[in-house]
Amino acid sequence: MPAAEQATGVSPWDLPAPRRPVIADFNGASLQDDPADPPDWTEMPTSKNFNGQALTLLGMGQVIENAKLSVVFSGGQPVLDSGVTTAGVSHGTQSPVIDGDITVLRTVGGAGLGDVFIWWPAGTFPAPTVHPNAGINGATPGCISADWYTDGSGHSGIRVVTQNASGVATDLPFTTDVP
Amino acid sequence: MTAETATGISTWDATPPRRPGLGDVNGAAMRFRGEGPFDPRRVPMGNDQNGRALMLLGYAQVVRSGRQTLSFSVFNNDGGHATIAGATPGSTAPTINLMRTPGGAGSGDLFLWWAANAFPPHTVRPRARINSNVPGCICADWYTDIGSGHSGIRVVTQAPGGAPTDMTFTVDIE
Repeated sequence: MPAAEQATGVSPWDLPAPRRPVIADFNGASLQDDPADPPDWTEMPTSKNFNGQALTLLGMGQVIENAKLSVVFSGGQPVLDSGVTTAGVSHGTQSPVIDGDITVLRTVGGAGLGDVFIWWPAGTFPAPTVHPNAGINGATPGCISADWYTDGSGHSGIRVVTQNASGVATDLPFTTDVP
Repeated sequence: MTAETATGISTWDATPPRRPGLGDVNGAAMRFRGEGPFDPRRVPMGNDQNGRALMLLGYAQVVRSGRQTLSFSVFNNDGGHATIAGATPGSTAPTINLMRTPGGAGSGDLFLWWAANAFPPHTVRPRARINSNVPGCICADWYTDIGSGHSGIRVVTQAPGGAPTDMTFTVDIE
């Protein structure tokens, strides 16, 4: 048990340097029942209940997506259609999507059609865990790939490449996660 | 906060279903009474409680509202041999209905739909993936069948080269 509270009281995604949760965010998840007056588990939470909740949240926090972003084409250009993030729930904060922190454009030096780069300011999300996973929307099936990418301007984000079923570079709407 | 706003149920089970907000965790603003010192070994502290409530809220904004796997050997328009397996955060999984998309390609063009308000409002667009040892092409999107007025997800699958082909897939309802 820590000598003083370590938990911050905010979602770690909303800290100035966003990160995924660590056990200190739950004060060690090491609460103890009072042996002299143990709680009646039928009437109140017990230490195992609280610690189990904390460790479950800690585990989920390692795999939950930082964001999911949908991109469509409007006027021949890729635009952000919708997005949702884990960040922006703490008091006084809002989603990076609402903040306008997500930029969508064609990949400079890329294939042109079907080659989109989504980027955001450094420190918007916790460090990446795995590689991103994207899927095609609309009614035209095709092939899609997505990966972390840094462009010539130093912006970092996700590059998504789409082709039609015959392998021809084609603009197709898509949704990608930000893991 | 003057009165409790938490409901005591999952917001996926609310009527209508929704994703949780601050009110569902009583504002995530718990504080301890100044006159009563507590033993931090025994009692969870305020930042711990509020932080975990806010983390839960954050997770709930991005978690899927449903995930459905559709597999079939021979599909006909009465739902013959198609099967759907799924999972949702709510305690009772909504009924997922299935038909070939009216006016669609026929093979490899399916429409999954459900009752209005079965899920919280959409966040982003759905994503689908093929489940097979034979790769192919797939797309999925929100869709309303004009004829029936049913709303759900249309999923289109093709073999490499573009031939419409029925394929087993899993789609996320976001």
